[in-house]
Amino acid sequence: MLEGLYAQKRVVKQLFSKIDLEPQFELPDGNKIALMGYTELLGQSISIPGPLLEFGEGDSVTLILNNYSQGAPHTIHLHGLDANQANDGVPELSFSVKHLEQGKYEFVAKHPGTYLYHCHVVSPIHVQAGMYGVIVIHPKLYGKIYGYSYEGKEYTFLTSEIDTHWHTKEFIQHAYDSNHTEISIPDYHPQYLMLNGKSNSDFLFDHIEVFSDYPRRHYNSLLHFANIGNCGNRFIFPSGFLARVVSTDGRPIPEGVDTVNILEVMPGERYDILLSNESLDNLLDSGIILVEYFDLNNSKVLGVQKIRIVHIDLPVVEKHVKQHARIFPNPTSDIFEITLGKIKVDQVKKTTLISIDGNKLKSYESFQKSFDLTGFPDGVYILQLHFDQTISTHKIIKH
Amino acid sequence: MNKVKWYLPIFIVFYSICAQSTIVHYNLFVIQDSMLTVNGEKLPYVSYNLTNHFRQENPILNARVGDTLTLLIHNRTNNVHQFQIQGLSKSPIEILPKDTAFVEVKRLLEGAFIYFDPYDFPVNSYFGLSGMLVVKNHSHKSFYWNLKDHQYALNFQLSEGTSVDWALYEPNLFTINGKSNPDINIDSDAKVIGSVGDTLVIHITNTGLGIHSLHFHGYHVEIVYSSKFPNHVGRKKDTLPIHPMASMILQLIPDKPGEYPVHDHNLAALRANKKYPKGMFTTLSIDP
Repeated sequence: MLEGLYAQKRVVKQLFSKIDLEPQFELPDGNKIALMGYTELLGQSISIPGPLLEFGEGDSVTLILNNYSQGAPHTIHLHGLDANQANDGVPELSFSVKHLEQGKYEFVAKHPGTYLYHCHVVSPIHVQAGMYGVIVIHPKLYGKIYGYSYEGKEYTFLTSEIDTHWHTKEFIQHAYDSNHTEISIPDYHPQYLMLNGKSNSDFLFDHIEVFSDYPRRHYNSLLHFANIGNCGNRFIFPSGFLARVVSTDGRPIPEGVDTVNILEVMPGERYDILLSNESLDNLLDSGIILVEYFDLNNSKVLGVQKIRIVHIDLPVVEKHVKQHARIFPNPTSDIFEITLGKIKVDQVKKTTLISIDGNKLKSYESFQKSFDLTGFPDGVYILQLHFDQTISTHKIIKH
Repeated sequence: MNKVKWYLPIFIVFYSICAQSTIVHYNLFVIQDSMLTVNGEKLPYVSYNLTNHFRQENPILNARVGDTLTLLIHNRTNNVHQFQIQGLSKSPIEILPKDTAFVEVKRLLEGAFIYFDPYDFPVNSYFGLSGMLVVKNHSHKSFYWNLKDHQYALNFQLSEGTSVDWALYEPNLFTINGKSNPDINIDSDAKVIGSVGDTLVIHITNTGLGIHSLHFHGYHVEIVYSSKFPNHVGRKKDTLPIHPMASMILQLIPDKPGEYPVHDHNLAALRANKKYPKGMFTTLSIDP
């Protein structure tokens, strides 16, 4: 996460659209396919999905698309961001960006949540080819989304599929005539079910740590789910864990948090989920979220992916930190310092200072030895030391 | 059934005079013919029609909350059919070949409902006999989308009396009110036209067999009615899945002008017999 991500600001982001002239993207069975896609740098090879774009609530965003794809033009459709027609990324209704040209898309990130971006030129082909990614808009108040708190990490899961018949060289480099857009597209029979661009031939996903749990209290992790494929998805949560739907398509659930055992996410939909242990008396070490992919036409389940939930034994880490870390003076009138004792400095991945109402005041992508509270009002502040699998929280009083 | 047919119109007029609620009456003719696809192909098809002339749309039936709906259903085919309104009529009525049946539903409730032929479900409903009844309690600008999916080969099989394995269903034609893009945009029932600040109400039924995930560009819409997920009422979304034999009513109050697409985000449904962009795709047209 970037410094100052939660402060409202003007953000300019560059994306490059590119095309594989030869199949380069390797699937788990060694099969290689050609892609079209977005990259952050011109020299990067295409991967799927495209880069995760993160903005803060209230940010004014300019996305600059630089087309280096040699073939058909491209666009960026800001899926769910309610952009006006000029910025909607539909070639016939706004504009498209030709090879070696540049286009700008502007929007205000009004609502926290999960969104998509994708090309809307011959969308069945260009989306399948790989021209898609996720946009996450983080809430203005750190750790609070639509009135609900989360203290754990955030995870983004994007589902899609690959039908290799839609990835041949001839198909990826299809002819395009803006005056005659009719094009023949074969039937869709995906062979690979993708989760964040990865798939195993037996549809079993590699182990992923979904969240760290804090056994002595509920410790929510925020999961962003999005589906850019042409199949339905069914996320089946394991017993012992609580999945609560906070928002969908970037808007809060009006009836309050909706607890689910199974969540269906259809093409184009997004959901934000808080995940925690269901009961403090029956903590589980791990669990599996099953992700079913099913045919929307006949409900046939095509396969599953698995997301492993790992329960990290946080008390050991926390005890270690509490034993060795020292903050002084506390209370303080201006400057306070942190010493780590036997804890190594490079174990601290980030140091963050937060106001009592959740506003992120300062953040550093490493250990920060001292903070100056001069100019801040008297009161209580929260210092967070971020480790690989936990966050150690300390109360600071300014008077 | 034939013996009683002659006095039914007289009975309906008499009933209208005597009853306190408004009687809304329709004649529906069950006719087998061919639907014309956006590519110009003809597919065997059966539909409900307001006259003796075949149309492939299946008419939108409109009524107000509290009204009494009466229907005379004329079976002009050589096959047995049934009729039911999902959520309103308790059990199907049977209509023999060349016969006529009377249907009455009192005190209509608000919503979008599917009228269909449940006989040998989903055969007759899939083959065309399914449409939308809208019961309103508002006077906002209204639009109607009856979603369907079709598999060319199956229509020919069904017309020949061959059985179908629905587990292998793989549609290759996707329609709103019987039309695919771009023809949907010349359907005044389907094409959403309004102005900034208008309250626009879109009534949707899915009488196909597949799930359709409708994505709105430019706006979030509010779910004001959902037959399958009543607890979703009040949600504001830009992508709205609608399950087979489910209905939904959406409210849109546009905050900006422009032309914005609405389409199935199962992008394979944007084709007609493999031809893109001839699928489930329309546009909203919003004036300043």
